[in-house]
Parts: sequence; C-alpha cells; structure tokens
Amino acid sequence: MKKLYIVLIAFAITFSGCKKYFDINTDPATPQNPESKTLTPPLFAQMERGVQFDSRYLGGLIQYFGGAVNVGEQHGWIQISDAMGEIWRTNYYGLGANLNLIISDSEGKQEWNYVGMAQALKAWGWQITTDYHGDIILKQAYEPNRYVFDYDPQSDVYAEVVRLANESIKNFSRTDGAGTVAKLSSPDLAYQGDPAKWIKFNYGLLARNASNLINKSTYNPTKIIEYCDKSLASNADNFIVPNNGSNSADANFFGPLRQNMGAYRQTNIIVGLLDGTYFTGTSGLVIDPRRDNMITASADGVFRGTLPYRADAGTVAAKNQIPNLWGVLGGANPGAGLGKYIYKDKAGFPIMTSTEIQFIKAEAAFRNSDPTLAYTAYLKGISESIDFVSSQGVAITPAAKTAYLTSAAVKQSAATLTLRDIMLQKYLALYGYGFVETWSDLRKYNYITGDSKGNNPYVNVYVFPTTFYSDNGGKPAQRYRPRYNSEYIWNVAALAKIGADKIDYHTIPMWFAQP
Amino acid sequence: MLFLGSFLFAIQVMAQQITVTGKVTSAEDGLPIPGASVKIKGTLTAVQTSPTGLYSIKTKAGDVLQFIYLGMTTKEQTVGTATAINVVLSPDSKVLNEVVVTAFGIERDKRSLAYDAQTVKGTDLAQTQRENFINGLQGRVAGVTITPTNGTPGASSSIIIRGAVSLDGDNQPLFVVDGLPISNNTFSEYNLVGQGTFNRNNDYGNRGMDINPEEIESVTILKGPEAAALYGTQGASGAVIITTKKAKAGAARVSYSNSFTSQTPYRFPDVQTVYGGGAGGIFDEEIRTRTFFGSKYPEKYKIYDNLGSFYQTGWTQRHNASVEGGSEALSVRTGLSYVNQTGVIDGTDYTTLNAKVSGTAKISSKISMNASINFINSKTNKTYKGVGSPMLSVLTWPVVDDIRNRYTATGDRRTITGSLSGELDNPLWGMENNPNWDKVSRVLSNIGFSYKPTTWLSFQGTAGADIYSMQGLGAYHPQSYNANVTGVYAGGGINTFTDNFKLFNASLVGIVKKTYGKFKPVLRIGYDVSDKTEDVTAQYGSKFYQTNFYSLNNTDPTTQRVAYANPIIRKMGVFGQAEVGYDDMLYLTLTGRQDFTSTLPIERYAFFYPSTSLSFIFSELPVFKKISWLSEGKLRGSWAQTGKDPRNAYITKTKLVPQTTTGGGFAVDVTLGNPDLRAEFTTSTDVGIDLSFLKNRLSASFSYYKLVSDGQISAPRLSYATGAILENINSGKVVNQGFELTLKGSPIRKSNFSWDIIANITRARGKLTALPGDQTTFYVSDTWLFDNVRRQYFVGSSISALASLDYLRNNNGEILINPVNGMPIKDTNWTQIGDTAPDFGIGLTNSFTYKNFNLSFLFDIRKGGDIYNATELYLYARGMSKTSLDREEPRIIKGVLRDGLENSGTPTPNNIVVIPYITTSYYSTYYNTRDFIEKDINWIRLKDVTLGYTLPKTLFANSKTFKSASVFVTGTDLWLLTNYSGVDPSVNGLSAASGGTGGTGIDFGSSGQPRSFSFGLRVGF
Repeated sequence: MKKLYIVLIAFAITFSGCKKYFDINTDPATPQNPESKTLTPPLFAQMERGVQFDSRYLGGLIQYFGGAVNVGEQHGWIQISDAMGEIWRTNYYGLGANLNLIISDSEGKQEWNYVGMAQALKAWGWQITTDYHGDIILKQAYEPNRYVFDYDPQSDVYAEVVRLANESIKNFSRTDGAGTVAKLSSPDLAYQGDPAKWIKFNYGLLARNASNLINKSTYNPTKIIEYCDKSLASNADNFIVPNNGSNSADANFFGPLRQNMGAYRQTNIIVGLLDGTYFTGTSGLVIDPRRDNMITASADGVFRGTLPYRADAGTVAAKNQIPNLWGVLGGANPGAGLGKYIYKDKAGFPIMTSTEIQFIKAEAAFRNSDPTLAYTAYLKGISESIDFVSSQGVAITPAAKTAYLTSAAVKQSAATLTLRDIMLQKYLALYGYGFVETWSDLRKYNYITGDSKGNNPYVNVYVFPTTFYSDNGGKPAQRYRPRYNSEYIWNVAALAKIGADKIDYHTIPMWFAQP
Repeated sequence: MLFLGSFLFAIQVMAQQITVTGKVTSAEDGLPIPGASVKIKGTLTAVQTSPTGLYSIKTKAGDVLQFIYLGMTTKEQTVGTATAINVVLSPDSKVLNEVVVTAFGIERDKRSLAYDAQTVKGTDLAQTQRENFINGLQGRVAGVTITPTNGTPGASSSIIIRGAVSLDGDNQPLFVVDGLPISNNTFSEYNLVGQGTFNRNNDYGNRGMDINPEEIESVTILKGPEAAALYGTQGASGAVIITTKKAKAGAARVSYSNSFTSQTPYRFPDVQTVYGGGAGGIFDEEIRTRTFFGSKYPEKYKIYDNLGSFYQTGWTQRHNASVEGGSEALSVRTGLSYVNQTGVIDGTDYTTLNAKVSGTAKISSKISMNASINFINSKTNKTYKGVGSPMLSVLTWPVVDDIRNRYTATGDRRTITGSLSGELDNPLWGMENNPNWDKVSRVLSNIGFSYKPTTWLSFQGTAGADIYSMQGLGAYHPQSYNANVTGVYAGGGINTFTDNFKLFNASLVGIVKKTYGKFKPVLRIGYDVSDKTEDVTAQYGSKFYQTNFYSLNNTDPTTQRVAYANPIIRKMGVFGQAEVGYDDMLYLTLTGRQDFTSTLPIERYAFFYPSTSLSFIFSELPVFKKISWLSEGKLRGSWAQTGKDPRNAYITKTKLVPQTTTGGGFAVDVTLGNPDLRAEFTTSTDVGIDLSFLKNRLSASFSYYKLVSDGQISAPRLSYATGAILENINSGKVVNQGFELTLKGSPIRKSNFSWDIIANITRARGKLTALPGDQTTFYVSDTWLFDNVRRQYFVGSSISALASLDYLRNNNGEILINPVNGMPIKDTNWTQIGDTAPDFGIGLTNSFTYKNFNLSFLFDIRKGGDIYNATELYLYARGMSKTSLDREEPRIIKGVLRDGLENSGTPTPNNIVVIPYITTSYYSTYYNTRDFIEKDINWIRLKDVTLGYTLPKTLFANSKTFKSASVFVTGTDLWLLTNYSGVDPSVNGLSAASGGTGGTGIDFGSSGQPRSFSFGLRVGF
C-alpha cells in the first residue's frame, strides 16, 4: 500500500507543474499574435483581387471587356456560384478581419498612422462593396459568436464611409503617438507611409461617395469640389497596387502569366472613344495618342471591338480578328512578361488616380454651373490620363498630347463643354481599372435614360446587349448578389428580408442612384 | 506393507529429478500444438513445445504439470513414474473465461466486461495477404467499417467504428500496439504549399498499414465508451488494440513463409463505343476530340483495346522470416518481412521492409520486462486519383486511337485535341512523366514492465516512441495537362514535403485485486501521457529549367515557395476504475477519467467524465444452470460520457498565414480561431446480451447503442461577415444509434472435420439534430469534388447525407422546363438527394478443417446506402455513357414550361422536341445530378478465401532441418455481386485524411480492388 501512496504523490507533483506543460497552444510555425506591419502588405493585393476577379463579369457589363466570355455582358448572374462575389470576400475577409487586427494592435501602440490606414481601407472597402452589392452587412459584422447577420441599408454604409474617412484623416493628421512614417513606409506598398498622400486618398473616397449622389436633394457639389481639391493632385499621388510579376502568386491577375484574360476582347466603345467617333461624330477624325497603348489593331491594321455579348466573328483569312486585351489574336496568350497597358504581369493596379478625381471635380463643377472650373478640371483630367497611359507602354510625346488636347475630340472652351464630354472622357480614363466607379456613373445616369435633370451622357455610346439575361425581365443589372457561399447557404433568412432571394434581385436600382 | 512401500517409493521419487518428455496435440484435429507452455505448477519453470508439439522438462514425481495454450483448456497432469506424458488439449469453449486485453495491456476477465470486445487472430489477417492489414478487418468485426481509398498499391484505408460521430473531424479510432498508441495518420494535403488538392487527387497511405500483419498475434476492437474511459480523448472513436507476437522461450525456432500474388483489375465502367468523337452528330474524321457526340464510328476504323493496353497484371512477392527462442529468463524474437508489390497500373508499386526485435525478460519472480523495436521502411509509387485519375483518361481516349501512341515524333506529349491544356494526359504518358511517390522510415519502440510485489497488488508500466519521417514528391511535366490548365504549374511544377513525426507515450497502471468471500473487487488507477510533435515542411517550385528532371533545384527560384507546420499536442489523463464482482455473476464497474489537453484554451484544459457499467452472468443462477442447452448467458449495460478535445492544435487563436502576394506578410487564415472553445461531450448508452448454447457450439452476442454528441468542435462555413470563411466553434448535436450482432456456430466439430461460421451484422446510423444559431445546414467542402454534389447535412438529416441541386419542379412536382430550349431548369438550392449510410452490413466467415486441409472464406455483404457515381457523370457529360445510345431519338422532356403558368391550374406541358444527338447539351449540361446518385446499393463480396494444406509430419521425421511445412492458396476480392453500375462501390473520393464521413461513397475515377491470387508456403526449421 505504501508504494501506492508514493505513486499517488508522484502524480500529485506532476499535476502541480502541469498547467505550464499544457500551455503550448500557440503556433510556433506561424504567428498568432498579429502585428500591424506584417499584416499590411497583403492588404493591397486583396484590394486588387476583389476588383479584378469581379471585373471578369462587371468588365463585360460596363463594356470595358468584350468577346461574349460570360453572362456579364448580358447583365446576368451565375446561380450557385461565388463568381461576382470577390469584392464581398475582399471586404469582409481579405481586408476586414486583418484591418480589425491592425486597428486593435496599433491603437494599443498608439500608431495612429496604422489606425488611419486601416480606417481608410475600411472606408474604401465599404464604399466599393455597397456600390457593387447595395444593402450589405455593416453593423453586425465581425461580432463574436454571431452566426447570422442582418443587412443594413446602403444609406448607412454611405454614412459609415464618411465617418471612417474623416477618422482616418484625423489619425493621419496626428503628430502624437508612436506611428512614424518610417514604421509604415516599407509595408505600405501604395504610399510608403506618406500621411499626406493617405489624406488625399481619404478625400478622394469622400469625393467618390458624394459624387454618386447626384440625384439626391442633399447633393452638394461645392463640398465635392472641396474634397477634390484636397485629394490626389497628380499621378504621383495615384493609389497603385504593385505586382512583382515573378510567379503566379505575385503577378497581376490581368497579366499573361495568370492566363485569365485571353478570351476577353477589346470593345467597340473603347475603339470608338479612341478614334474620335464618339467625340467628333466621325470615325478616325482624331486618333487618341493613348490608342496604341490601350488597344490593338486587327491583322489588317483596322481597330475593331466587340459589341455586348457578341463573339469575335473575325477570321484569320479575312485578317479581321479582334485582339484580346493582351493585343493578341484568336484569344491566344502572348506569354509571360508580355501583354499591354495594365494587362501585364508586372503592371500595378490603380485603385484611385488623379485623373478620376479631376473628372469628379469637373462633373461637380459642371453641375454647380461653374463651367470654367469644370473645363479646367476636364482638361487636367485628360492630361493626367494621357500621362498615366504613357507610363503604361510606349511614351506619348508632349507633341502628341498637345495635338490631342487641341483637337476636335477635346472641347476647346468652357462654353462648349458638356457633361457628356466629361463623363465619356472619365469612362475612357478609367478603362481597365475603375470598374465599380464607372458602373456607379452609368447607374446614376440610369445608363442611357439619363438623370432626373435630363442629363444623358452615355446615350448612343453605351449600348445594351440585344437581349438581357433571361432572369432580368428585360432590365439592366443594377447590383450583384452577395457572395453565394457566404450568404446563400448560411444567411438565407437575412437575404430574404432584402429580397436577395428573387431571381431578378440584381436589377433592383441602387439607393444612391435614386432621388 | 503396501503403504510403507508406497511411502518409501514416494520419498525416493520425490528426491529424484526426472526428465519427462511427451507430445501435446489438439483434440480438434489431432495435430501437434507448437508453442504450448508446459509449466510445473507453483513454480516459474516452464518450457515450450516444439513445432512438432514435443516437449521435454526436468521435474520430479509429484509435481503437477500444467499444459497451457491460448484458446485451449489448460490441462494438469501429476507426474508419476512415467517419463512420457502425452497430452491432448481441447479447445476452450468457455467463451466467458477468456481474458480480453483492453487498454494499456490491462487484461480483464471477459465476464466482467459490459461491452462486446471482439478479437481477431493475427493469422486470420495475415492469411489474406493484404499489404494493408486494415483491409483484412472488414467483415471480421461487427460495427467496424473499412473503406479503402483506392485499389492501388499503398492506398490508405479509413476505419470507422460504430459510424461517424464528428461532423467534419476525425472519426478514426486510436491504434494501439502492445499497450501504446501509435500513429495511424494519413498525410493531409493541407500541409502542402497551397494545400494541394484538398485530398482529392492524391493519397498518402494510412500509417497503420506499416504494421506487419505477420507479426500480429491478435487485434481487439474496443468500441467507444470503454476505449474512451481508458484512453481518453484519443480513444473517443474507439480503439484498435494490436498485440504483437512475443518471444517464446525454448529452443531456437526459425520459420519462413512467402507468398506470390498476382492482381488483375476486372471491373471497369461500361462505356459506349458506338458513337465517335465529334459534336452535334458530326464525326470528327481527324480524331481531335475526347467528347463523343459525333456520328457512329465509320466501319473503316480499327478499334483498340485501350483499357487492355493500360492495365497490366500486378505482382506481389512477400517474404517473412522469424527467429525466436531463449530461456524463461530471457527470450528474444526477431521478425523480418519484405513486400514488393507492383500495381495493375504500370509505374505504381509499393515496397516495404519491416524488421522487428522483441524480447521478454524475467528479472525476478516479481518483475518482468519486455521491449521491442520495429523498423519500417517503405516506398510507394502512386498514380493521381480524382480528376487526375488515369481511369477517366483511358476511358475518354478515343477507341479508334491507340493509347500506346503517347509521344509525337519529336518526343513531345501527343494529344488528341491538339491542346495541352484542353485534355487530360494520356495516362501512359502521365505515369511516365508525372512522378508521384512517398516514402516512410519509421521506428516504433516500446518498453514495458510489470511488477507484482504481492499477490493482490501489481503495477504495469509502458513507455515508447513512434518516430517516422515521411517524404513525398508529386510533379507535373511542363507539357502535362496540369502544367498548362492553370498558371500554378506553368512550365512544369513540383511539390515535395517532409513530415517528421514524433509521438512519445507512457502509461502506468496500478491494480489492486482482492477477494472477500463472494466479492471480488478490483481497483485500477492509471496515468498516461502523450506528446506528439509533427514538423512538416513542404516545398513548391515551377518552371523547370530542364524537362524531365524532377527536383526543386531544377525550378525557377522566383517560383519557389515553402509551407511549414509544427503542431505539438500534449495530453495527459488520470483514471480510476473500480470493479466489483459478486459470485462470478454480477460485475459493476465505475470509471472516472480526468483529461488534460493542450489543444483547448488553457482556462478549460482539464475536463472530467464518468462511466459505469453492469455485467450480469445470469446463467450462473441456479434456475438457468438446470437448462442443459444454455451454456452461458450474460446481460450487460453501460452508460458513459466521453470528452473530446479539438483534433488540431492551435485553433483557439486565429492563425495568420504567410502570403505569397507582392510584398509578402501575413493575413488571417480562412478559419477563425476561437478562444471560447470547450471540450465536446458524447454520452453513450450501450446494452447487450451474450448467449451461448449447446456447449458453446452456438453463440450470439448482441449490442444496441445510442450516442449523443453535443457541442461538437467543428469548423463550419459561415457568413464572411464573421471576418473569415470558416470558424472553429462548438456546434451541433449528433445522435448515433445502431446495433451489432455476432453469431458464431460450429455445425460440425469432429476430430477430422470441423466447420465454423461467424457472422457479424452491423447497423450504424447518425443523425444531425441541431446546429448553432439559426443554421440549418453544414457541409464538408473537400467533398465537393465533382459537379454539384457534396457531403452536406441538414438539421434532421443523416450525417452521411449527400446534397445536390435537383431539377426545379412546380407545386405538383412536375419538372420545370425552360421555354427557350426545352431543357429542365436546375434548382439553385441544395437539397438532400442521397445518404451513403448502409442499412446494415454483414461479414460472414466460414472455415472448414479436414485432416491437414483447411479452407476459410469471408463474404462481405452490404445492404442499402447510396453511392455517387461521379465517374459515370463525367463520362455521361462527354457522350460516353451507354444510356446515351438512344441519342438519335427525338424526345420531349416530360415536364411543364416555366412560362408563368407552371403553378396555375393549367400549366403548359412541354412541347419542345429535343434531339440529343444534335443538341448535345442534353448530356453535357442538362443532366439531372440525381440520376447519378445510385440508390440502395447492395453488394456481396468474396473478400478472401484461403485454402491451406499442412504437410504430414511423417515427411519431416528424418529431417534435421525441416520441422514443419504448409502451403496455401489465397484469393482476395475474387468476386463482387452488386447492383452498382460503376467499378466498385467501396471507395473514397478523398483519402483517409478527410474528416467527417469524408469521401466514402463518392466514386470519382477510383479503380476498385483488383482480383488477387496468392500462393505461398510456410516452413518451420
């Protein structure tokens, strides 16, 4: 019996030191204690991922991309699929969860610039997600131990963007705390920690947010102009997500290495905007200096593009095949490292450019009955765009630029400037990256119906496909559904409340576009 | 005078040492019993019989000799004057007197057990000649389901005892060898860079298969509660207790056996060969397509036997040798085995070398020790499965083209369609150019002691280590399909990994055993600890510099990536078990266990659970004793709680995973960690009855059980608004119910001829009764491997349910037809369309012994349960299905048009004529997935049949070398009768690494078990 006691005592001793022995549930292979600086670099790739993935459908809808690749060009949707749901993923998962960690880590360390950056990206995420999906989950998002989530109206999301952008501006303006530029510069792939640029980016977000509301009584163009003046001033301020382009993991989604865009053809609209058709009424009258960098001619030297949901009907024999985005015929891949414009492996992806801001300003000034201010911004917008495109391929000479700016394609006085000029130049300038922003423009002007004041800038330029997708009931798309595998299985009750279970949910107009 | 004489004689004898010799034979068949112990009662002196059953022992008159052999009734014989004592031992039919080895090597009287613990003899497993012994268990134990992943060499097999409980976690039992847990892990592709194919396209073998079946003495299956009560969280899904052969004292004995096996695949999907490649009814004369919607093959084409060209006869050779001997004080056994198997697919093979040394030492009358070390080295050359399966590729290779023609004139990959990315690799080319292998080096060591200071107190301790290193490589040639279809393997790519696994275990049990009159209390107190560390490094590279050279050094450095994982799991448990027996009739056992684990949040790292059981041998009651035909009867019942900790380490906090996007860094993992996790608990009730009749010629054992598992630790998908895609939570309630019935009979038991039958009947059903929040469904994403079918449970459904997208129907149940094209419209909501759980399974073993011949065979029978025939769907969508032979017939799909009137009183019947021959989307797009869930699949399978012949001992009478010899012929998987239209319904679409009910019942390009014939011999020296 004595021995038994000894054994029992031995056990007792073992247990007393036991808790420590078992307190090892922290991964030695990957950190579980997040640090803002390591969480920051991947955020940028997540931003472009959301937009680029979804642009495979949205690009067709807004007619940046063609070739009848998928139902996007028909304003359709794909049942039981995560397709068209990548912005959703970026907002809640790719950014959201990481941004929350950054905010909590950096608030503790008083790194206000990190907090500000996280708020700015949150604001960007909410803005693009609501502009893309409409009503989304806002207030209950990220609540621990919650398994079903209610949707909030778009107006709430718009207000939250404003709140977050202003918070971010405040944080980037702070001089106290421990958030030095040096701390943020290396992980910050967009602005290298420069607080001034981040503040400009926030004002850009505010400008976007406010300029979508042209049909509302609260529309305030003066405020928008003020935002724009504090926002990106030149291409040096552009928010660009860099891509190393060395392998499939760090290469541009649009580049040949990733093999995603081979089937996509350049479109009729872009061809028409670049050869003067839509600005002068005559095809080929003014050739845009940006044309050779942005699109490619067929084998016979003629520039062609597809109409919505029309395949490339060209043949090798007739030399009229329409090139794809990489400038190659027959949907072929030119090979890694090649491609054109921002469809190259190493090309960065713009999230916001100064040209966009100039056109937002031009639109606001024009609507504010200040054509002179509008005209200045319009010219600067075109100029900034030409400079940006020049940097994406063969350099455009100053002479070519001046020739264009003084051509018939560009209005030569404030008096002759129209909203159509501004919006079509903006449409062209945002080609290949401003997918959601361009879509917002199209929707706020009700595609080719025009806004409440009768402005109809896209008529006779933007065209609908001959038939819409079968579920649309003859209506154009206004929104995309929330991501299928996030919501349509696990959050069905909440979806039903907003009508997202209906087959034509995607044709219901957005709050922002309505009076 | 007589008295005095006797007395004096006795004294004289007592003083005199004599040598008694003799022979021990079996009453059953008259054959000698080798290895039986002959012991002088009350002493430690013992010898063992030779392979011919002979023994020789120094003793003295008056001593009592005990003749002991497992499974035979011990016989005692007092030594008199005779120096030759021959003994005939009878089989021990007193089933209840058996001793059952339970956890930690604790031997328990079968009478006291309130659960059914079935034991299978190692020889029964070894004789099936299967390289993975787990496959030999199917049908031999009630309540155990074995599902092999594939029929290729080195394939993993999953083993599930009493049905799956965990929704997405590990449901496989603990493997214990000689008292110590070992790893039966199947390498998971989640460890690879980019997480591989989520276990869909490759398989890595389950490590339990490293155990040499020739070295197994017996396998005992512990089901559920008892296993858990003693092994804790590790044993929550049951335990497979393996006892290996121990060294036996006596003169050195050498034995050698071998076997040679041929394997041939004999079941293939039935495909049409009438219509050729093409589209819209137009035959492609140039043979440039692998979809078969063309016209009928013109006669001029030669038809090739591509299946025949691809599959070959597989060969296996096995050699086993063992040497054992020594004294009572120290005896040693060594076993060596070598297996070389080449598969039915050229290029696949499995080679293993297994060496084991074990020794037993008796240090004093109170202390004995044993130790063993087992070294295993194996290599498997594999083929890809799933969508990369060669089977799918062979079948879709046009029969008018010779599949052997796999290279172009310039030595490049030859394709049918002209596109490297447009079609699967020619499987012959694939086997030659896409290497895929893994290899294992493993050491299992075990040291144990037993110390018995007094008659009523004893201690048993065991400690050991299971250490292995597994390496693997999977690569794609630059011209392969996989290297071209996406950018991931552009320019050819390679994945390698090294898994360094270390498991240390120790246990100590103290047993107090006393008898107070009719009361026999036993107290067992135990302690066990385990420490498991895994270091997995995985590497990836692509863009080979030099083609056909498969090494990371040959890849573009900018593409190289790594993944590293280092899970460490520590567990400890203390348990107490009090057993009280009354009058050999009534036994009450109370068990309590406290577990400590590192995988739970440290605030909740310890948890306790009790169990209790009652066993009542009612046949001991006088009233039953009078019934002559009832030999034994036992009623038993148990109630137990089982705790289970998270299966994986580090899930209490969110993991950050390294990113390979520009700039690198870390980002939140797809699965959220949860600091609020707690242990999950399963409550089980088990009742049963054991009966035996007619002097144990007939016996029956029945168990019914119900398990309720609540708050399971699982990782369901949730709304991304959680901040991730999945989250580890305590979720759901699963209720499992089932029964097991074992029937044993010996219709004939004569000295020359005997016949035994064992039938194991199993039914297990699991049902999901609740999910957290307002969730209604749960799915295991890995199982979504082909088309829209996946393992998805709904509240109220079975946990082996399959869900899919059905056709949309109107309120009357009529199929809705698209007015545009006359084709059915598919639903966008997932609904349950099948359940892979069978109604019941039966394993039926028959064995016959006639003189020197013995014959045994095992039938595996299954009734019910659905199978998803993804292979057929794949072929159907490509115009290969035999059901598409009527394609030229115009038809109107029965249903109503979705024109707004579909739910009115007068729906418009479909009137749109479709000719599938022209409108081939009839097959390629508008199929009804439901048609490929084959319902109520039954099978009868001749799992194995063995005929053995032992050469008459007279042959060896004059030989000094050979002492015994036998020859045998074995066939496995010879015959399968099933209503399943595919290859083999017993397959797994994933691998044994997958959680929940995994990929069982999902057949996607799996090759079934080939038919095998083996012959071999055993020789004793």
